[in-house]
Amino acid sequence: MIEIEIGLALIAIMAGLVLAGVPIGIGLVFLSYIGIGLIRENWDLAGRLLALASYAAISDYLFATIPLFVLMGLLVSVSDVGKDTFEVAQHLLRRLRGGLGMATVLANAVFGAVTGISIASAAVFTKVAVPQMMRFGYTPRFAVGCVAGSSILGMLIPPSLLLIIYGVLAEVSIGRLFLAGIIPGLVMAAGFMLMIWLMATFRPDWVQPVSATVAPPPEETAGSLLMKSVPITTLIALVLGGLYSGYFTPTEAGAVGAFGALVIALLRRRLNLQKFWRILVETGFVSVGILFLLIAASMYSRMLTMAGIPASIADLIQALGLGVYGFLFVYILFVLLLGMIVDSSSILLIVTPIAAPIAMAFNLDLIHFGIITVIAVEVGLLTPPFGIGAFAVKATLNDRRIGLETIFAGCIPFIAVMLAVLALIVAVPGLTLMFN
Amino acid sequence: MAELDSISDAAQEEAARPPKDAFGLALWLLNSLGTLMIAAMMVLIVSDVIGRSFFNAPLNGVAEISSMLIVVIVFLQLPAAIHWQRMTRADMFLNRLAARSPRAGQALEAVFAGIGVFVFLVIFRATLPQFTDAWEQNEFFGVQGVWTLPTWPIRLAILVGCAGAALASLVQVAMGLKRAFAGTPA
Amino acid sequence: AQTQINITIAASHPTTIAWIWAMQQALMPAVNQALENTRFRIRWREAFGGTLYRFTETRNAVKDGITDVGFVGTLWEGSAMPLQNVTYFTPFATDNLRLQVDVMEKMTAEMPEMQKAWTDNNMVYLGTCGTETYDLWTTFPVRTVEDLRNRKISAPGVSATWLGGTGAVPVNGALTTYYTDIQTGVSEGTMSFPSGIFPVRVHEVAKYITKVNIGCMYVGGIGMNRQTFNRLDPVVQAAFRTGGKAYTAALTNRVLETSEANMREMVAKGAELSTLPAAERQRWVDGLPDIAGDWARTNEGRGQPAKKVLAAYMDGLRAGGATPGRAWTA
Ligand code: NA
Ligand code: NA
Repeated sequence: MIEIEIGLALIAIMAGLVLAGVPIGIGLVFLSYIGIGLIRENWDLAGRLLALASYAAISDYLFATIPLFVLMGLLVSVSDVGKDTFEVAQHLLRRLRGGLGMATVLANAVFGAVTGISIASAAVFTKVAVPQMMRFGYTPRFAVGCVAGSSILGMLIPPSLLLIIYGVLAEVSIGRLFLAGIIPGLVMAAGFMLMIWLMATFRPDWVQPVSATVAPPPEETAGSLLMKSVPITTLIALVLGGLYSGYFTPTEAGAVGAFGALVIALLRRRLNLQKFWRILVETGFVSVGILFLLIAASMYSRMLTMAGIPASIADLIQALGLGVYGFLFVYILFVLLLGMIVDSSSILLIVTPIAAPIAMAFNLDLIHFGIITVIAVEVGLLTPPFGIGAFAVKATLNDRRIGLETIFAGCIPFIAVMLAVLALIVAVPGLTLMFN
Repeated sequence: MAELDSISDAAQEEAARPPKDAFGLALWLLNSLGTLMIAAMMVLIVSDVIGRSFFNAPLNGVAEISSMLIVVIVFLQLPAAIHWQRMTRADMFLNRLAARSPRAGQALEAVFAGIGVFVFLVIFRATLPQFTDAWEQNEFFGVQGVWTLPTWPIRLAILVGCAGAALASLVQVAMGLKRAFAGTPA
Repeated sequence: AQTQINITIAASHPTTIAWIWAMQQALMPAVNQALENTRFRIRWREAFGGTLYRFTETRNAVKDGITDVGFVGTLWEGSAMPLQNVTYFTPFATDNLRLQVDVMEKMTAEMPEMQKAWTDNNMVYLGTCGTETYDLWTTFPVRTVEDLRNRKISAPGVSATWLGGTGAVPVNGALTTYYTDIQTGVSEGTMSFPSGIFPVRVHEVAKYITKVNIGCMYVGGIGMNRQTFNRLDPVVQAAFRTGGKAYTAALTNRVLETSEANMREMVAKGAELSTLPAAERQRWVDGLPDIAGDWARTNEGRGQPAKKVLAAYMDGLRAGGATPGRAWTA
């Protein structure tokens, strides 16, 4: 089985290239070309597949709105709506250790009800939350980890692209899956907040060093707090209200949110034509960074499929002949490993058709199994070498002093919480089946 | 930490202004075209939402047009993203290497840029027949009788983007090699 | 000695969908069986479920040899294979899937004009795929055509034209967005067929199912890369032709069985089934613009013999005993 060996070799080379510092998207395209050429012994074919995937991989309404979510985040940031929001949060949570980190988690939980993709959350909150958390003395590592980590709530709390894909593949009700995601989403948010409190209390050096020189927070009155809360409340009301009363879809929420943020920025007189242009150009740079990675990731996972990697690992799992918990353990491990090398929708396309029938044979509820799968898949957003959640934060932040490795390091506590919640959900299926 | 804002502010301002050199200007113009398309897409989607929700008059094809537009946007902006080094990567190893040996760091940068030249030429070459097909056979997307748009502009954008990206990478190969041999750090 | 042949077989959709199920459960076994007493063996490399390419690439994937055998959705290929889409522009023509599959298969085999689309795209045609007739799933009861006026109906692509004259507002979307769109009120229903809509559980949010009989549709078929096919020994080529025939037969049976079972289950889960009265259906049909005529003229303008194909299709249906709701002509 020479294909498998080629595939495995290319996974190893990918890890090496990423670590060595090759632009990740370009490295993935290159390896896909080499891999397909070697596997099919046809270099023309390899080129044609690259050309095809170049547009087909992102030619989707869902991906089209990524720049608009990025734009929304930049507008919220430039119009100081984000700054004001975090000043309010800082004031309200000033007695709580790690209060701003918790505010970021909460903001992501609310925003999760608006967007169906985690990249959108990361794109929106990087510019809003990271500078503000650092302003109040949080370490860069923790600030970026917090944004990347809590962005995964976007695909656990409905609506969720991953749950939709799983629902279609496993033939279960998307509506029931959405309901099933709510409690785990809230548990996850609570888990993140608890972890932040624990770390801020017992490992302050990691979160908010006491020694950090912090700008004194502004004096707040009830009036100033109210004034600072109005814009963000309006924006949330517009987007959440419009979405859940049927004026627009989660895909369209990006455009409406960006437009709303634009109006707010104009009303607050924080925007002139020059500044708006600057923001639009920046939106382009950030979006290209993310979208080109999606193209490259799609090519790479196609190459791995050609190599037969997913199929042979699935055969291996089936051949192990495990009990239900053994199966779940190996399955989750497999998803986590895949999460290191391919993007989240590809993982679902690869594993669900194989795993769902096995899960059914073990009498697992497919809704329960779906939530387990999606959480395990989401861990992959935060794990190196290929972690699109961390990449999105990096692309949006555009600060040379905060490297990708810092973001991945910042994600570690969040991954730990995700695995703990995952274990809890495996043990207590009721958490996912409460509303069903 | 206000300096974080100010640094990226300065970088943003620079990127928003048209550069002086002809090559930079060409990439900047392509990038600007893509930028305008992002704004246009926002207007298009919001118009569809308003038209559908309040006037029973949705815009035809917004989803399809947006999904094609996004490809055009990415490829128009790719060359600039490469030129101004905005491609996502892990630079921990490179930074350490450059601190120890600037020459080695620059040489490695040149190799990586060379990979870029190669892959974009591969995609360019394989897209060329797609473009000629689309042009000669009047390929379209959309629904006949409702609305249709030609697909050749999308293929053309990919071609232009790949050519620009290959050139931008080539410039970086040259700069990396020059610095590697001259021994001057970036 | 044994000769092992590597064949990649792939699809943009998972095997939970009948169109793909039949590739794995009918085509592959039939090919294997046909080769049983020969010296040839196929080593299948399966890539179902969109792991190799997406639904927008089904034609290119086979054409370029990314897969050797693939499901090709001509419904997504309005530009490159327009003639194959004749059924979508002749709504209300027939609810007899077996007849439609027969007619389309014969036309593809016997009309050089239809054959050319596959040959030009570097493919060999093996098997046929169609859907059962389209009906309505809505959040409100539909008793008259008037009930649709100003209602927002998820009807992406060509299906938007089927609403012409009803006063309904077509809303964009895809099978995967219908549920959320209808639940939140972005749309108030959709047109679909039981075996397609059941997996996404739209009946949970749009419980009024109205049988309208908008007609069966030809979705596409199984294509094989021409170079791959030509390289094969005639014995193996014949085996693949047999596999294609087995695909068509098994798929049509499966679709009809699943359709009935799915409809029963939706009703059991609380969906309210009714039939649009014949007179109302006729009003809907009569109110439609000249969809087929416009389509034929547009394509004739692009050098495609659409008039001939349209006439052959309608004649084929009538010869098979169908009475189309409207005598579409160009
Ligand atoms: Na969500
Ligand atoms: Na990962």
